[in-house]
Amino acid sequence: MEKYNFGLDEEMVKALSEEFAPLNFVKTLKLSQPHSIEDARASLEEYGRELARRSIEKGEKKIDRVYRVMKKAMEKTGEMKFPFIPQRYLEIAYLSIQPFRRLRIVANSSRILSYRLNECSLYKAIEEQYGKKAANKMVCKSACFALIEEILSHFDFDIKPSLEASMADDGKCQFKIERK
Amino acid sequence: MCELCEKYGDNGGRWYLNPENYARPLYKKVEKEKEKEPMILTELQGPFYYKPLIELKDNPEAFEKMREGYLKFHETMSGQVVSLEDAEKMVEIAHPIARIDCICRRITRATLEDGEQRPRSCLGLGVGMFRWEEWPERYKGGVEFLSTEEAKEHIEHWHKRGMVITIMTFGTPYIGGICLCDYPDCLAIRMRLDYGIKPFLLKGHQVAKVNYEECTGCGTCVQRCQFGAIKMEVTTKKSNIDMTRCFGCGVCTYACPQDAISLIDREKLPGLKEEW
Repeated sequence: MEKYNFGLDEEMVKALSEEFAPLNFVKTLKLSQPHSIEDARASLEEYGRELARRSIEKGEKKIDRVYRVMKKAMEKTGEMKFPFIPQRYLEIAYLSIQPFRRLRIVANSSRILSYRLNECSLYKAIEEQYGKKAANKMVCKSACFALIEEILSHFDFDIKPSLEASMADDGKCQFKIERK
Repeated sequence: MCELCEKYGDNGGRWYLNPENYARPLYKKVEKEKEKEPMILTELQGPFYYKPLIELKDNPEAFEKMREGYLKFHETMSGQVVSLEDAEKMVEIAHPIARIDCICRRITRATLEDGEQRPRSCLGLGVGMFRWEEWPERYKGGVEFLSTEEAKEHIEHWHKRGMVITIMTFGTPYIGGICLCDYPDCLAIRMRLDYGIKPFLLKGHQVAKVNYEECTGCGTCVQRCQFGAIKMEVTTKKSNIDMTRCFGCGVCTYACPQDAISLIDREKLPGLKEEW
């Protein structure tokens, strides 16, 4: 992790990556035991929500130059809170726990924020720990939904995200957050 | 069909109305050893644009070599003329939007668009604008963020005064700017008209047509056309548009005091539908 320059505060990302290391978390799920899916889902939701809370908490303290200019632009135009505020915190969260160098944003207009995960450390960790069958149940999506919903709720957006493609069926996950 | 729409359009729609072509992340992880100092734009582009002008005079072979270089460059940077109506749809999709100094005029005039009424005529689009403001060494002059309505007013203001609306990619199909252009300052128009480098600036989705019943032959449109597509027809004393040269920018439609010129869809005209 140290060899990267994030634009984001490096210490913040490092701290989040340690706090929310996917493999360490997945080991606690006990997915191999019968009737454990519901428990796992609840744990994943809490993991996603807590990742969102911590990303917001730390991200609001560590103001990088992109965020500083973004806030000025929002103040001047009265626009852009959506999609860029949720996008920022989703990027902080995902860049902290995922192996990719950038989050693949599919759309970020005033109406839609959509992004794609072509690889996922959480899905991979479940696969490594509990096998492909367990991973393909896509219980991990609970973490992503909780992450998105917590960020949206924190910034007063009443929007329900949807999953347009899944790692199990399509080899990638794609989430869409669309304003009505 | 327009090549860019075919490759990057959303289900056959116009490529520049597809939100995916404006989407970028705010952040990325960069390997430290790969970090570079921001490049100064004129150092990159100045010699690139001017070299053929100098070499053309005495060395056509060198010009051809440079022309090949331009065509390769097109893989990352290309553009197209768009109508006012489409440009207004674009600024509803793309954010943020910021007024910036025109880089072409900066290169061709060797100056910023200075003065009390600094026009900052071009619009930068997308999250890159959040970085450019604090990179004066890269883009002298900074940026001024606009709301969607302000952007529409800005485009309309300059278009109705004779500027052609074009769009530019920065890593095709990522659309990074809406430019308000005129010849000979605009390097994209120049590339296309003077050097015949077609992919640098594709024609728009429409072409202009004169209603001869309404045309009074005042010649205003002839003066306004940036592409040399309109002439005064001696026999009829009315404007005549060469539709094979028309880029469909629509400047003439606003210039005509009689409202005698309108835009029609290029793809509805068999002789022009593959003419980009």
